[in-house]
Amino acid sequence: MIEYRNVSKIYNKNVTALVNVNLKIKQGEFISIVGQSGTGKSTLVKLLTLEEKPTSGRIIFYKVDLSEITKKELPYHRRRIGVIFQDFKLLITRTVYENIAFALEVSGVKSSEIKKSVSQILNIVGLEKKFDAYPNELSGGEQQRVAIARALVHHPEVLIADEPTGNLDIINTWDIIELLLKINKLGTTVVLATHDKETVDRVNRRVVGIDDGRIIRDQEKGKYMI
Amino acid sequence: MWKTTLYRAVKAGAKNFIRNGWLSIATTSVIALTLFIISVLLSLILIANLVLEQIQDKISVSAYFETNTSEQMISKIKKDLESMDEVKRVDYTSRGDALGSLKERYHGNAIIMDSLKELKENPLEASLSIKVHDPSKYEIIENELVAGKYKDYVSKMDYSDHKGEIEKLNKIINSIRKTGAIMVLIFVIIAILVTFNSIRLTMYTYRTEVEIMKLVGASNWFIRLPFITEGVLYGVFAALVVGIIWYPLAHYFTPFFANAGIQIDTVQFLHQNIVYIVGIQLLIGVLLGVTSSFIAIRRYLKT
Repeated sequence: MIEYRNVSKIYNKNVTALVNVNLKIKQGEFISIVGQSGTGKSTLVKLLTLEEKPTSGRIIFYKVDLSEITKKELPYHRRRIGVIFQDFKLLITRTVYENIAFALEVSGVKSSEIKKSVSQILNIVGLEKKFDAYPNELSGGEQQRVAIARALVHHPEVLIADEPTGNLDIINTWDIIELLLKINKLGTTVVLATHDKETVDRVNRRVVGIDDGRIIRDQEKGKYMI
Repeated sequence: MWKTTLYRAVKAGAKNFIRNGWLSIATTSVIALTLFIISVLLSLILIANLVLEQIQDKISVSAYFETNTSEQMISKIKKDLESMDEVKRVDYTSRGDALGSLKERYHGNAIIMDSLKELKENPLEASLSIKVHDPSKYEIIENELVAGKYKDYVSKMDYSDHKGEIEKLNKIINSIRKTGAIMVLIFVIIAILVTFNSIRLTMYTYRTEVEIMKLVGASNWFIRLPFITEGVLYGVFAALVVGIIWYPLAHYFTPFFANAGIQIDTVQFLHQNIVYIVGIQLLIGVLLGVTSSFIAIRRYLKT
């Protein structure tokens, strides 16, 4: 379980991203964090990967207080999370296979196991034939699938999706959301940060609305409303 | 596990090196250029030193002995001189030898030959020709002979006659060495800065990759090692390139040195010291590549 306790994030005098946020995310949940651009959604998820640190408050991630994680422990913490982004963040000099394998290589997994896991995940995201392609040879939707495969191949406890469909057309968007739902069904907690109304409404799961750094709404099976 | 990590890092570095063909060629060329400059400058220093040594070797001073000094005494003085640390070589010329070479030199000159015949006795003095390691030490030798315990036997030393020239030559030699060393240092620093900057630019293109790798949970060493491997490869290839162009250059320049009266066979020198030369170039190349990569990537790892 993930818990935000009185979390605030102030970048500087003029920019306050989060104000006194309290939020609990249960294991296996699919939660959409919604709100317009610049309201603090990204900051909220970045606090989980420790790309950002809270100015005050605590975050408990599966019994670990994130403020206690040292620089050395940081890579190990990140291996417990899968992240996908609007701009995919693939390694452009590596093939699809190598991009996905990288997430396992960092943990020192055996090559034979990597081979097995990567082909399995490529089947799940439907890219088994493109394993040898480079990211710039793929469409946006395909690139996001590779990113999802990389985020999942090491079986993380949580998958964080920060505006994953922002760069995709409607068909690809829905494909990606379907994939996220499927992943959630298999037991992975999914945290989706988005400002896309269509997506949230079709998912029809828990929705947390954010405005001006504050949680203004938290509904089971909610719709996008600000 | 570290073996797997190392293997993967080296493999990833080698792949990067090949895949970023042009970038690798550009970076390797810059290191090769640096190595080349360092090699040329070092060779120039070596050759200049050799020339200076050859010039210094031509300098000697002679001590002349009273005609009544016995050969035993002179040979004792010779031994004494040879035992001094400053002295490199001492050659003895007997009165007879001196006369012989005089006759040989002027055998066509009737006046000199006739004058010699007029004299009942050999007028020439026996002498010791002395060479020292450091030309500034001639003064010590002169003091030892002219003012020391042998002063009664020594009639004259020609050091004072040549003192001006020897000192002038010494000054020139020393200033050539000093300027040479400073020039080399400046060029080497410039070359290293250029290399470092070039690698920094290469690493700049990787900054997004580094950020992504960190997000996926790679440790700093896991990210760093492939780049260090790339640095090693830049160095190795640069050393190879310089090694290859060095050979024809040596062939080309040997006749020039011979014409200039410098006794050096660059090709032979290269052959004799090939392991040493290639080793140093490899070492400098790899060191340049690795340290530059290491420093350049560090700033992207901090975030």
